[in-house]
Amino acid sequence: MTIEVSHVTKQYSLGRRASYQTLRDTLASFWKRERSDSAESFLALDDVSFQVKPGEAVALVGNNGSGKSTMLKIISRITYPSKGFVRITGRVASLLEVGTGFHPELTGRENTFLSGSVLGMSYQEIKAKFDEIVAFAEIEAFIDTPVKYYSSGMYVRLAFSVAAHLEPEILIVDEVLAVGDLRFQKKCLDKMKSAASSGKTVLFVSHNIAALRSLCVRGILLNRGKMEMDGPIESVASHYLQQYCATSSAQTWEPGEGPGNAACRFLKVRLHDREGHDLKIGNLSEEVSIELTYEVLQEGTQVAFAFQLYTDESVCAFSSLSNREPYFHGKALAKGTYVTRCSVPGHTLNNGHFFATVQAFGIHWEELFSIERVIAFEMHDDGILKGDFHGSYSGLFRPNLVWQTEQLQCP
Amino acid sequence: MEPHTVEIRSDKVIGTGYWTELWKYRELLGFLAWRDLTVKYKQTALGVLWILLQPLLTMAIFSFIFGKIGTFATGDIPYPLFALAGLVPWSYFSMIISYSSNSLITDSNLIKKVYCPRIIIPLASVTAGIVDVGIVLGAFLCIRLLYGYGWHWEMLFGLLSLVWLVLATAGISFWLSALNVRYRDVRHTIPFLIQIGLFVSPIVYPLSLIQSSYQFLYACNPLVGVIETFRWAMFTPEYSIEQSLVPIAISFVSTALIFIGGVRFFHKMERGFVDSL
Repeated sequence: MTIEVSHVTKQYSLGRRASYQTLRDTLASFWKRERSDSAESFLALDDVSFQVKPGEAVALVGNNGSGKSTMLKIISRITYPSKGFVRITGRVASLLEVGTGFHPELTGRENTFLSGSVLGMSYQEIKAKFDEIVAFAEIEAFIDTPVKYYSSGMYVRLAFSVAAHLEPEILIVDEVLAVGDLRFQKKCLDKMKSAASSGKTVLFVSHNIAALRSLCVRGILLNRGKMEMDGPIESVASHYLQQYCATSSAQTWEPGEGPGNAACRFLKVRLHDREGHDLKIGNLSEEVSIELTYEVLQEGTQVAFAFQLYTDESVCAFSSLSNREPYFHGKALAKGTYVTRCSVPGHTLNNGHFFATVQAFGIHWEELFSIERVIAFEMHDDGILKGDFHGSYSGLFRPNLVWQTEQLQCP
Repeated sequence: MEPHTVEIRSDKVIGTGYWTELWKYRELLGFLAWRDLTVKYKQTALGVLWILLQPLLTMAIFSFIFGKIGTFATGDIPYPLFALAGLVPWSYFSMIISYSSNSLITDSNLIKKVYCPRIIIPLASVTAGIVDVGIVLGAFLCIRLLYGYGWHWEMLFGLLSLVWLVLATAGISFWLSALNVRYRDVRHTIPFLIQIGLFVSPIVYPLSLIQSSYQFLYACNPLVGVIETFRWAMFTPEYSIEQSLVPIAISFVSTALIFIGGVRFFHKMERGFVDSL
């Protein structure tokens, strides 16, 4: 067995996580009977067991907070289980972040060596692969420039390129596929695919279900720290999409039961058309609105919202913030029920499936809570822009743009 | 290579030894030390000169205050040279302690995303500083020559005392950096600690000034042994060591305890680092 996860439980105590202790607190707690351990705790992982065979490519699937990142951290020896054990045979490389070990003051060349070493490559190995890494990243001309002057695209390309040239027996990858422009993403995916098919053991975490489907043969679904499903990727992926990704364009909660906190709680999120009717399928040329209904439970609550629209492939189409709201943004709200709407004008999105994730923020844009993939809807091509063209349009958007032609010279 | 199995449990990791693991990561230690060194002097106008500026300016000030206004009995050794001999270890110690005690916080991003024996992170700052102390030592030796002191074989003990210095600094930085992750109070005590250290080490004054009744407590400071050995190595036979052998021995034992205790304490604390950062 290459990876054996046996009854792994990880407990976090909420008090300690929220703020670090000062010496004074600890000294004070010597006098008190109860220790801070008795504070509220939650289980990030609850008795999870699975095994991965050599050469297997496995996807870990689940919503945020399902414990998949904690699992990767335990397998990578970054944090330790509270109970149970993980047994690993072989050389492990973990990519939990793009650009681990990068230092902005150092040049691309220096960072390649530093990051390579941090990820577990030897000096000789990095030296041997250096040209290949730089070529893959397509930054030959800037290799001796400090990375702080890099564009974010260049930075990510170099960082990923270093990681992609690791040759471990077990590769652990968290969400790093979602980097760079689409073309580079494809290149990364291909590199990952060749790793998976060349007999390496691979453990992937991603929100990109389509990518996981093409990379992995097996899926493991986690939900709130518990193992929910373990099987072929196709059935796990479709179960996940059905179960955890909204299929409905409206979500309603009983008062007090919706997502939220002590100050503000959701009652309803829905999609509607210009007349306010519930909408499941929108027309490309017509306005669609996202409507948030929520209760303010504490006098003087200040809250702001944002939403992101994602495609089926988990590509974010765009996001929008409620600070465009002219009357209520930043105001202290009285108790009561409120409705906040955002209208997306016609001729914005391309046709296809979309998911909306809604977030609530505090006054300094600190995230209070988020509801992932709360509603789903479809944009239908009503043909208004098609004219005599009957093929499909590529891209995320379908704006109504102006085209003009002039004749400059007559024969 | 034989496939290697590691078992990660809540209380221990089975299948790998602490020291073999540390040895496996020596290259990364080198890279991190090199990074610390490179980054420290990038985008500074004076660059490496900064390493020399601090001890030399301090020497000038001390020479003015203690050499002209109040005088210490430094025997035949000129006061500026006497003070600089104390400042060579001290400038390393004071600079590295303030860097390394915060190193786990500075590198928290690394700790949260990659596994490595955590101890190499404070160790990298300590290692990077060896270059600094080498440069300062070079300057000291030049000045010493200008004052007319020649070479003699006892100076090799000066190198040994600097090895001692590095171990003492490493030991203390293991304690402070590990504590700093859990208790950010440590951050506030460092400047204070360094200020006190200057007074409770024989830097501006000779060790002979300390009354014998306080000497035991005083000698628990690892720097006492380091500085005293270094001075003797540099200035023998003008500077004799006989009456300071006991404090040097105490200081040595204290360093050993701090270092071994530091490694064990760090090891005990490190599994909780990620959850506290």
